[in-house]
Amino acid sequence: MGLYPPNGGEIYYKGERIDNLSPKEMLPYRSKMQMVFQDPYASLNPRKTIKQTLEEPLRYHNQSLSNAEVVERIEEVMLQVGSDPKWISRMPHEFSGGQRQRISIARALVVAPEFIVADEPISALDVSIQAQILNLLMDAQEQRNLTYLFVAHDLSVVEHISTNVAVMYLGTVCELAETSLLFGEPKHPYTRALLSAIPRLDGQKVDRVRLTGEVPTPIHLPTGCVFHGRCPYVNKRCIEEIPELMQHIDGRKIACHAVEEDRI
Amino acid sequence: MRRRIDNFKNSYLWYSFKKDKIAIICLIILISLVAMAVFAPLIAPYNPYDSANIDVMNSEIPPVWIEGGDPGFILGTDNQGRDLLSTMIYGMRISLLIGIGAVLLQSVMGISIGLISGYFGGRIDSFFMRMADVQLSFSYLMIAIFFTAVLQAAVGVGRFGEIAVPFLILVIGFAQWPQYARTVRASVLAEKNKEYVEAARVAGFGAGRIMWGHIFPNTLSPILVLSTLQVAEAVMSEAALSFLGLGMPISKPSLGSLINSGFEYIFSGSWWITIFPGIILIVLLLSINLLGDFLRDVLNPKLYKG
Repeated sequence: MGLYPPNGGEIYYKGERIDNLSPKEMLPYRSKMQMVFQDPYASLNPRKTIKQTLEEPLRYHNQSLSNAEVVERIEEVMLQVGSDPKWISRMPHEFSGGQRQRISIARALVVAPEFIVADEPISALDVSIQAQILNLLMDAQEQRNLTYLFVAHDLSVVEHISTNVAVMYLGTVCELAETSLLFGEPKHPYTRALLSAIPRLDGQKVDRVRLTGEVPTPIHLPTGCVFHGRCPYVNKRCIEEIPELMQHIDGRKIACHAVEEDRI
Repeated sequence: MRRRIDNFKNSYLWYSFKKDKIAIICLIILISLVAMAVFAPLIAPYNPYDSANIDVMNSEIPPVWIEGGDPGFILGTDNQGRDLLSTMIYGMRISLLIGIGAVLLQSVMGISIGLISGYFGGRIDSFFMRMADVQLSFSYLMIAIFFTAVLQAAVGVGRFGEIAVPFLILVIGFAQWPQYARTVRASVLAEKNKEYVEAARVAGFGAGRIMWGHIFPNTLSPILVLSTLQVAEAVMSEAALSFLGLGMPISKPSLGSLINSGFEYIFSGSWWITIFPGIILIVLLLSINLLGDFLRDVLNPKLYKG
């Protein structure tokens, strides 16, 4: 999104490198990539009406649009996110969290993007609203053929919405796989521990993987594998060498020496 | 427009204003004083700048209710024979003009600098804020005295009278911009990390558009409070400079220079030349300051969120 410059690595969008572009060169990508934020109370400008909030990016990216077309497109996205188009002259403080998040999604959708980064879009909402917003996002995905990068810590939500899941620990990708594969048969020791921690309703006893130790501070990352301090399968190589993300036989990508050496 | 008026009538500001008697009284006093100043030529009994109305023989006539008073001059006359009431009304006009002009200048400078240094941060921020520190470490009165004295010597006292108003606006305006810059910078720092600003950046807006269109409207409440207090401050600075003989000349007096001119006669019994402009000045400043305090209490985000 270019909000913060990357510390390392490269970012590609449809095969084009985009992390080194100037703001002007970045502009065409802006309307293709949009973002939905975590906190619906901070992500709408409190001094702008909903109309102004939705209108500004639309006009900025499509300067040839007439007033009637602008109004039409705003009404269209408002309906799509399940808000009444009559609300557009209201201020953000007149809405509840769920309604604000709908408007925030509408703001992302109004420029007709292909790709939306959703940064924990439902973690600040009530559980009943979470489901509504989630369904809204999935409907929009179907109708507009969108791609999401969905950041979340609620694993059942992740299982519900994703096609591919990347599990990250301390800023490093541990395992990247299709949803059914990852949830059905987790390989990486951290993924296993993470998935075994999902609470279950059926009351069956599950063998929880209990991790020992504390999460290290991201300021001083551990040497070698970031997970080695808490991993039950640790050996000398894990402490010394950083594991690379490697293709596994069943198609998933995984960064673990133990899996690579077939120790687990 | 109607919706805006309705909005305002439903707002917390209007609600608390109606409940606050001091604020209402202050606003009434302030509006009537400003109206008097604006419509001075219609209200004042005489035109004090027209020398045809001035007769030195009329000088130092006491107010009507004192023995020797002349019904033509309700509050008496000053040492040059001008009607004191008219001179005060015209003087207030000049004082307010300088006060508001200086605050406009300050706010334009201070808000721009505050927005830029708060938004970009880093070296630009350090540069402007150190400049503000340097500026604030001098007494502004000292700088104002210095520049006025130099200018008076350069153009001569006679010509100085013609350029005194814009010059005083410049001096007082430049002296106080750091107040605005600091206030605005502080609010910008608080606002710029909120997600709506990030959303604006994701939309690809330029820095100027984000600063003025998105962040600036959210810093308005402290600016509003500061502006009311700064108008009072500027009027007071102008009065102080004029009292020291470095402001408006006596041929075109502001309230400060009127107080100064009467000060020389106070021991010879003509107390009214100093006292009446003094009272008006105090009433003016007090009502502005009390209104500013009211605004500060109402717009305080810790007490009320909106």
